[in-house]
Amino acid sequence: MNGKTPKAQGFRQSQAGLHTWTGLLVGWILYLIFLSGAVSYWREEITRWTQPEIGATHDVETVARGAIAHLQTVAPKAASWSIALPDERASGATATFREKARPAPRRGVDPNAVTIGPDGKVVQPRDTEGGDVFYRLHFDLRYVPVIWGRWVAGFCAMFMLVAIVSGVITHKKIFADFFTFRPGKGQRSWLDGHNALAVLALPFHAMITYTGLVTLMVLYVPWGVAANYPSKTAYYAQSITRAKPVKPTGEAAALADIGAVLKTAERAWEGGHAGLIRIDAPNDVAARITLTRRASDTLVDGRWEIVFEGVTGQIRSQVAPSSSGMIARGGMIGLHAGRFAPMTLRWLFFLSGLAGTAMVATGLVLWIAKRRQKLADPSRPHFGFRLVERLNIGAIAGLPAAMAVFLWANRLLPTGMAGRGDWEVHVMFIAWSGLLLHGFARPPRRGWIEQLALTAVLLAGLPAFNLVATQRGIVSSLMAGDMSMAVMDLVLLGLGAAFAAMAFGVARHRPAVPKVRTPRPAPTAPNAAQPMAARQPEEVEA
Amino acid sequence: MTLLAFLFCMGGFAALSLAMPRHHAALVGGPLASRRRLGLKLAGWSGLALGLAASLAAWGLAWGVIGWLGLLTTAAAPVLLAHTWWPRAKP
Amino acid sequence: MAFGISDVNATGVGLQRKTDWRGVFDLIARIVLAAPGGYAVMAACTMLLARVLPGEALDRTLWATMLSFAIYACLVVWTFAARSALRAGAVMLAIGLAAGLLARWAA
Repeated sequence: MNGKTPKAQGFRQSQAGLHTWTGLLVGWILYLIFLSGAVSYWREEITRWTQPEIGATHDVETVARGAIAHLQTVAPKAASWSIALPDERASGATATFREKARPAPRRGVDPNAVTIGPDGKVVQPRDTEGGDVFYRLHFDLRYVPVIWGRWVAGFCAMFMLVAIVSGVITHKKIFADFFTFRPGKGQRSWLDGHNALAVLALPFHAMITYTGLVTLMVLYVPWGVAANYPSKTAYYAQSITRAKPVKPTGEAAALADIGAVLKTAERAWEGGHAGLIRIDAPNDVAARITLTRRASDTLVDGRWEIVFEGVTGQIRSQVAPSSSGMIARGGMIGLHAGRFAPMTLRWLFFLSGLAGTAMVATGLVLWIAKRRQKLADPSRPHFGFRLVERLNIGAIAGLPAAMAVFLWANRLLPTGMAGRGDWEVHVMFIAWSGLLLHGFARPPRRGWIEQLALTAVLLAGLPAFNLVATQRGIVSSLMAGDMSMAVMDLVLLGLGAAFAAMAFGVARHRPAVPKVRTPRPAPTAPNAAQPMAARQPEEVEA
Repeated sequence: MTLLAFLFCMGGFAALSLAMPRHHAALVGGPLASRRRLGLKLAGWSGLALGLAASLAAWGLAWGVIGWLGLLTTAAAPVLLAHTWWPRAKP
Repeated sequence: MAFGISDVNATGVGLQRKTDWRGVFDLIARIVLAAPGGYAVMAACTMLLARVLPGEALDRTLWATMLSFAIYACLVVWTFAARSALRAGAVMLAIGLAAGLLARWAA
């Protein structure tokens, strides 16, 4: 056919089949992982948007002082204090404390934690998980034990890695077709789109998949640890060095000025900033202040800490990732989470993530488009085809709609409601379930149009609601110079418009009536019916 | 320097894409002589290499390679879009 | 699809294709070899690397674990590219045994 040896042809073919099936089997979950991951690049912005009561941070030192003042009032004799500081994109600090002999609070349930606003005073924002919802969804999923969620994500990531490798091998004309995109040609267009999205951002896709696996690598592949350590505990003892606990002497002494300590750290880190303040044995002579560096400061994820004498503010010790393994691994985790990324790069990562999301979506639609052509009787497709076709609608168009519903719940649920944070998420999943069912209830084309249109309305409606019903509408945000809120409102509007365009696109697209394929008679008996049966339908319903 | 790197990469992709007979016919018109094809390919790969050099100059070794890979993606996109919506009718 | 099973079964029109049982067996064999089998072979290779790579124990462990996913991906691709499931199984077994024994010896 093209001069290749049969062996090479077979190799490519084997990879083609592998690529299609690994892609389909995890496609819907991968779509969720990609979309929630892409959106998580804006985790802090989304959290800010969901808690408009807290304004933008202007001066971290003010916030730090306010936090310490609060803790001095409520827990001057606590065993330790902990203050999570915001960066330029986040707002509000979390201040908490631990009494002696009490176990550390479980994640998400800390009765001692308060939020400190940009002016240093305690604020009571509405109970919400904010951007963390999508961040956790990305690798923990929801409503299942965290470990299960991580295994599912890892499984899908491994499938994705194999899909990338087999996709590159199979796409022998990877560069010849690189610049080819023919819109409006049915299955051919979906294939072109899928290829273009995959190949254009190939470095990103390969990087994000591999680094994602590395982020949870000790869970997925504990064999490196097993080879050299008698137990995981022994491994963690070496890889995560814990500070020795501080014993308070009982002799009171004033804490050093936190502003001075922060400035000393900044100098020691050559312009870096603190992200976490931990004070052990506050107001005691033996007090110790540990500053952990902001995650957004460096590419390499890991422990960057400076330990200070609590009373004098002098540096006692400093740690940073030092071994080649820790740096390489930290760098990979850093690349994946993208916390280091300045705005421009963050937007590029986000767009690449959306490209990956669209790549998975086009792959799922392509699966249907290709098989629709092969159906012997297009009006009565087999069960597998029908299942995938209907699931696609709710899984692909339904998820963004459900995410918008989450944001609506954030605005509409009463602030005093118990369990409000959990209910915002429950509402999102209830909406998604409803949309999945809707995909089965309506004719496919109607289902797509309706869900895309709904998503458009839900997304564009949010900034409109903000403008009309809250004090943080786009106009007030712009006047206050709060670019984060303003841009988020604009992006929601833009995304709404994009989904409206997609809904119109599907509505306007008139598919050619697919012809019923009659079995071909033998070539030696030419038949008047043959030309009709031999023609393939040009356009397929999206 | 970033802009320069981006332009080099974009030019490189434009040249490489025009070195393919199908795209050449669609955008420039007419058959693709082998001499011109060779020239375009050379120009194309040079463009990408210069883009790498500019990235390394702008960002150093590790960041330069990462940045170059990112630029490849951003620079290929406009070329792809041009090919999709700009072809002249064949003569 | 290169695996020899019909991927489209029409309903209501009466078209049937004969199921290629050999192909089905080949496919299932490859899946078993690739997914759990590949994981096991990769685990052995990772343990070997974690012991023979240069450097401190922590570094060796980290580097070997970081590389493991690339090894796994290659093993999966190989399993489906091999001329037959039998061949794939034999090669995987050989690699797995060799890596496992060497890892034991290097402990």
